[in-house]
Amino acid sequence: MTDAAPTPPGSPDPSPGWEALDDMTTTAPPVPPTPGSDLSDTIGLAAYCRNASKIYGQGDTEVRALDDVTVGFETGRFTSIMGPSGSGKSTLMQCMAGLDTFTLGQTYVGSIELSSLKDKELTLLRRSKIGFVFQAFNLIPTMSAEENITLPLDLAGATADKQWMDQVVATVGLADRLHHRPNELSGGQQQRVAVARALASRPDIIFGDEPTGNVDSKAGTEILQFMRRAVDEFHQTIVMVTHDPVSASYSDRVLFLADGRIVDEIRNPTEDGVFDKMRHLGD
Amino acid sequence: MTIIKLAFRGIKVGLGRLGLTVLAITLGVGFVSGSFIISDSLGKLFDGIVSEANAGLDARVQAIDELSFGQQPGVIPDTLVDEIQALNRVADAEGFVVAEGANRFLPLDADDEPFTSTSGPTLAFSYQGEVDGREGGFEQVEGVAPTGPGSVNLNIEQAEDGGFAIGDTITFQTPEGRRDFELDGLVDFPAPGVYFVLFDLETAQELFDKAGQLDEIAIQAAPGTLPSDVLDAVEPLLPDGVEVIDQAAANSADSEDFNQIISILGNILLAFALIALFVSLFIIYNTFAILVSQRIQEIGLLRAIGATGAQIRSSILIEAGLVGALGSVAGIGAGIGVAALIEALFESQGGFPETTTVISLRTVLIAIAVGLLATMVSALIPAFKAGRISPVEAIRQEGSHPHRGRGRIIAGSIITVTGLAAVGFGLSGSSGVTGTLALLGIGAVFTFVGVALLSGLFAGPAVMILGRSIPVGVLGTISGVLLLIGGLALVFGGLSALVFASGATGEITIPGQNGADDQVLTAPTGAGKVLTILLGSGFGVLGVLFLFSGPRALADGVRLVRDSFTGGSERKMVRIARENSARSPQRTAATATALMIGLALVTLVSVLGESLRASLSQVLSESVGADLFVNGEFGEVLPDDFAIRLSGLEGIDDVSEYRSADVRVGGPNGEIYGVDSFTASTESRIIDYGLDAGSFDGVADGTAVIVSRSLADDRGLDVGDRIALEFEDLETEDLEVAGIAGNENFLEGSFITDNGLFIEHNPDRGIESIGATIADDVDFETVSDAAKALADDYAGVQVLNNEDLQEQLETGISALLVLINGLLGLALVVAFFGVVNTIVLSVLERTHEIGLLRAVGMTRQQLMSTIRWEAIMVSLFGTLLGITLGILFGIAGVRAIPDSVISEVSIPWLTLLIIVIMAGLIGVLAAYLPARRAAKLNPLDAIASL
Repeated sequence: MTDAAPTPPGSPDPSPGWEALDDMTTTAPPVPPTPGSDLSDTIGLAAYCRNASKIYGQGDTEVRALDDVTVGFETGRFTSIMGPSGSGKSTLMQCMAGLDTFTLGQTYVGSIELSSLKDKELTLLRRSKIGFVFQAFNLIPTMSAEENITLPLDLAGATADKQWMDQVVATVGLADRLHHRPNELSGGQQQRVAVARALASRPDIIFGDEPTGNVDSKAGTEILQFMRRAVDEFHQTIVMVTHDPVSASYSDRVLFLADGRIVDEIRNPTEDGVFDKMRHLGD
Repeated sequence: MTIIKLAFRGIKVGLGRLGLTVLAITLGVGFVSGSFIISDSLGKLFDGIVSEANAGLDARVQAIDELSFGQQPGVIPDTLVDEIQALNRVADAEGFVVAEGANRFLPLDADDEPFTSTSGPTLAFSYQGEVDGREGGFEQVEGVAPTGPGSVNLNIEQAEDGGFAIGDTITFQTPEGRRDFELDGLVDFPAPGVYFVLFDLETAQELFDKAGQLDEIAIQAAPGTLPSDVLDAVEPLLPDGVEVIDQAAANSADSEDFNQIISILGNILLAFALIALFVSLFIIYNTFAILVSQRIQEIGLLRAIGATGAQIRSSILIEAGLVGALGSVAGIGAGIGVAALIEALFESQGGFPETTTVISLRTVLIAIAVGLLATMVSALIPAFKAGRISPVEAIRQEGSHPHRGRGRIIAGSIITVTGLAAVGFGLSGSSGVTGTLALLGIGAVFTFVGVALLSGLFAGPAVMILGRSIPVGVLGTISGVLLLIGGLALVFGGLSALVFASGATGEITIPGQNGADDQVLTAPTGAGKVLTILLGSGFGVLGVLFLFSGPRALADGVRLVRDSFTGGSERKMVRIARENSARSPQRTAATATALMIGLALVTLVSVLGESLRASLSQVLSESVGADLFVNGEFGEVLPDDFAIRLSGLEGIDDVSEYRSADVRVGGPNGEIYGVDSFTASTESRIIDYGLDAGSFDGVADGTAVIVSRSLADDRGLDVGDRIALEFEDLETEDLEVAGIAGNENFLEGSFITDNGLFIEHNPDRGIESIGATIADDVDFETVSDAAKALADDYAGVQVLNNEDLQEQLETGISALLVLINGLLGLALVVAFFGVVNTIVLSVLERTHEIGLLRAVGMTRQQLMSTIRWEAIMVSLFGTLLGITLGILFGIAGVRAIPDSVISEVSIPWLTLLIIVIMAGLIGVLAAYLPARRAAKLNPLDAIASL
């Protein structure tokens, strides 16, 4: 907890603040086993889940979107999740990010177990520990780029760390467009604002759901480069769902999902390597 | 067919979203049909009573009541009964007299006080029962008819209420002082709340000062004789000014006044119903505009695969028509329900004969037509917009942005200006009563529509300004506190009503105020019980809603005010809310307009009421010198000796009797003016004439008159001119204009003479009121009390001092304001649903955004808070528009109303402050359910809703 989430000073919220949230955390093992990889060299996990399943329906109509998945995401690394449509990759990300809940299993973000959290605690967690970049419509149309970036902080009633903000904004390269509204920005610019927003509160982990899925390739490259820099220079942790091998090649590690299970992974991927794996995923 | 299928599908999909729209139409149409049903049913009820009362009557002799100038009312000599009775064609004839005015003959109760009905007058008649097989009149339920000079009958309701029993000797207060009568019988007549005192004919003639006269003769035809033959036979016997009419004419004459009242009542209700319906137009417009914008892609797709713009347009209009039909049918149901409940309540009170709810075809047709028309007209603009959506919009991701066309500005300006011009022209009063009202109505409608169009232009900036943290924070805080208090009161009241209705409490005794009798409430039965339970539950539910939303609003408000200084997160919520309402200015404007209309009218009425109050009190304090005022309680003429007795009181300085009549100037076809007549009309002591010119010379002698300023201007009269006034006795006096009275408060457009001259020409005109001054060197209260004691000797005479009069006027004005505002309440309820509707729809429209906000860390409480602030801002905008327009209308109204009624503008600031606070309440309550619904949205589903 290098970066304790700010609670608004004198907030009347009767519910537990961030500190209390830590206290409520169930005891968690420091490093769980992650299948298919040797984690002895990792520095720790920003988030992980254990024996997690997501089940829709009951009896005959039961569908297992995720089936007994155990996976961890290393701190300070850029992880991609790939897999064909319906493989459960988005579900996995959403559940890990506290937007949805697993039917079975445990989820940890940092040392906090998510399944026992109520909506309010989950919200506070998302606000302070998790960043998001969605495929599209990431921004509130009535707010300027700057307001969108500081939105999570504003919601918490916290003031932005000026130095950090300047650094983020400079890296995103939008210093001159900060006062524009989303509809005055290009698709790529909008996505970069979204990434900047995800970074603004220095979360423990950032989740991206096909962040480049809706922009042209040049803009896509810019965004991916920016995410890469966030990991390398700011030591952020990013998990991205994508179906594009080129995007995946920017990450440190690619996880492959099929039929709700993790079936493979590559470290330090190359475009070709990812293509290759994709082709043989069904085998 | 496909179009209709599309329309149906649209409704099915949007049923939840259309629910509040249907409710708005239901309320409006329900009120429209309810006003028709109530007036039809009351009309039928009264026709029933009248025809029952006149059932056995074949013909009736009565004085002609419409008199031309100078015509004396006819007198029916009581010898005429015998003459008519003697006719072969007549089986029976019976004379009848009525005491002029109400409350002239009142029984004294145990405390020696006159006993009156709480809800109606006490009328005195000669007894007219079921004689010789003739039905109608009074039904003798106990004892016998009055037997002679010392005998009286009362109606059973009065006897029960007052505790009078047969055989009692009752002292009556009469215009001639007190007299004892023995109660020999009790009668029944279907007129709830009205008390009857019945004497035998001779006694009545003497008491009513009608010796040898009759007011009516009821005639029954001999068997086998046609009523028309009876009329022919009676006609030749009648003196001048007297007529004979048949049963049908008698029925319509008897019910005419009442039917006129019913029709006025019906029209008033209808007017308020139409206002509510007008308000719902904006809600319907909003709904369809939003539905169309939500369906842009769907419509674009339909256009792409070959639907024509006209087909899209029709499908939207058909959808509107279906919604309108649904709302109208439900509205008629609601109207019938409400009317039936009111009637059942009347019946359970007793006294009213059984009534049937009259639902005429006209009611149903008008209600449906009005509902359909309202919906389709308001859906017209959205439908045309939908028809212009291009196929490419299907592929476009973003919804098209609303463009603020120059057309809107031009149309809005033209409509507003036209509306204001119509109001102005109407106020100039040059178009008669109907024309004025029509112009005012049309002008107001145009102004409202025009402002609705224009306000879209400044709704955004306005909300940005209004939605500052501190004002809305304070408003939210106040609303929260009021909702908490109100919620507790409502829940308590609701529960009490339910317990009371269950009968568990038995009787409740309410101690009488100011020495009045204690009121005993017994647990209601029948319709009363149903109504009490309904009201109780309604209060309870409302109270719970208040209690749920109050604390949140209070917490938000306090937090916002605090965060405004400390820079906390609640300011961000207000920012978000402000941006949201500024984002769709046209929608915000239409919602605000719905609220604006109701509140503009409430403000207008309050301004007029306050100005009237201020003007009257100014008149009382400045123009009127009198300290005491004597009037008939029901406007009756005053006893001849009252002024003399009053002036005999110690401490009374000056007494003036006031009489009025008509005079004609310019011969048989000349113009008719009013003439006011005072005693001692030579000085400005009783009333301040405010002489502009001339003097009082010659007025007291009856050789000169004072002319009011407006009349003098009208006829070009000046001091010293001579004018020939023809009085009602058709005698003409050539009089000199002695002076011109500039103070027109009482005297507008009339001649002012001295009583001496007046009485000479109008010997039968009674005293309408008496004014008196109290000497400076005596105790005001003592003299005033002595004067009031004097009035106790006369029935129906009241003495008021300046203070009493002011109080009485203010009570009257307040009661009127409460009534009108209560009726306007329906328009406000509809507007309230409009705010809810808008918030619901705008939440739906922003589902994705809400998901995003929740994903990045907005808590449920924060989300609800943004929605609440948004609703408060929209309400506040509408309220301020309404107040502004209301004040403008109010000032225009005061200018247009003659100075003799309202002379100065007075703005009721306190009322306006209350209205502003109400905006907060409306916002908080309107946001409650939509906010809860939004908070329940799963962020993931919300994001996935793309």
